[in-house]
Amino acid sequence: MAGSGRLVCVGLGMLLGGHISPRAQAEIRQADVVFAAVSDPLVELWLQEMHADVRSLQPCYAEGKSRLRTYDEMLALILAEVRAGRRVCGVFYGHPGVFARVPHRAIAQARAEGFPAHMEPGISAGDCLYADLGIDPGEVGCQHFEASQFLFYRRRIDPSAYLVLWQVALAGDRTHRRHAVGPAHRALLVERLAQDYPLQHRVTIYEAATLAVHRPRIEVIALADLAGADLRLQSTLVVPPGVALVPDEDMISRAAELDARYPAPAA
Amino acid sequence: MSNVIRFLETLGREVGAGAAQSPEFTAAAAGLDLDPPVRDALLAGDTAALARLLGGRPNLMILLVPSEPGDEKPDDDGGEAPESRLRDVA
Repeated sequence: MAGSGRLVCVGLGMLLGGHISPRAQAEIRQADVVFAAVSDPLVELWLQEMHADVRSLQPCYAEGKSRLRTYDEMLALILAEVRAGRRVCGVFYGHPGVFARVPHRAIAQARAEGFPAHMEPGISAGDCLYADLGIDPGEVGCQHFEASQFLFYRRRIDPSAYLVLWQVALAGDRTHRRHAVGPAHRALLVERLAQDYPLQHRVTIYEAATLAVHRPRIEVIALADLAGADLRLQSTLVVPPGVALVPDEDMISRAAELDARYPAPAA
Repeated sequence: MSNVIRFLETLGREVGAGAAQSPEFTAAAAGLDLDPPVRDALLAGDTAALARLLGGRPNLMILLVPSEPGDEKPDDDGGEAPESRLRDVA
């Protein structure tokens, strides 16, 4: 039976001080206890100065321990406080619902147990990517995949749209224990991408700035050089369109007939 | 809030990424009441050293999503030496 506990998951955005929303600030301030999974030690120190009881989720990690088990433990810690009747705020970097399964699971479980729970959106690394690289996802479309999932499952991609692969430093890893894969794993990714793009296709390694003293990392390389590139856990691969949009003449013709049948209001 | 954390917060809010490249940054950072090693790390943009000097957590991990969607079962962690799991596969 649900008591007075509640859960909200918020995002700090990517840039310390620059992206935190008024909603996130209010939820942190009003919480009884704050759990934190952030992107930088300085961000963690900054958050610790916002609330008297900030509990880092970092101790759930351990060398050699499956991240899947780590995330189960994070979930258990968060929900234990909700069940104890506390107002819990889960604080995550970026957007708490983008490439961060723990917040979604925590909210779903809290709700299943009858506790109020919701998520406040934040500025994600993807939002920073659009701004820093000058990409409008509405122009020709933008596909986002987790890099290993892109390899392990048969995905039909559209090379006339942008392709963004997240967690590219771990592409091909199935152990959930690595902090990076080597050139042999990355060669699989190059091989897969070469099915749709030439090896000299220019791709971008992107990392959002998390501190104001940094600039975002925007490094353009040839696809052929990806296997030997310097990739970190926060690296994202942006593959621009390799071909132009291909019109669907039949659909265009049918839409034109509808336009004639149902004219738009006159200017 | 500590001086340097507050400074970074202000930079993030008022200037944004790349603030260290602004002409005002060096003067502002130099004017802070900081221990010399902290000031040096800040001026150099060495945020790893800065975090260390301020007592930040070493080896902070970011959240990663599993490649498999939906509910996942954690692997059995028993039996394998932890170090061997973290080596890159050539």
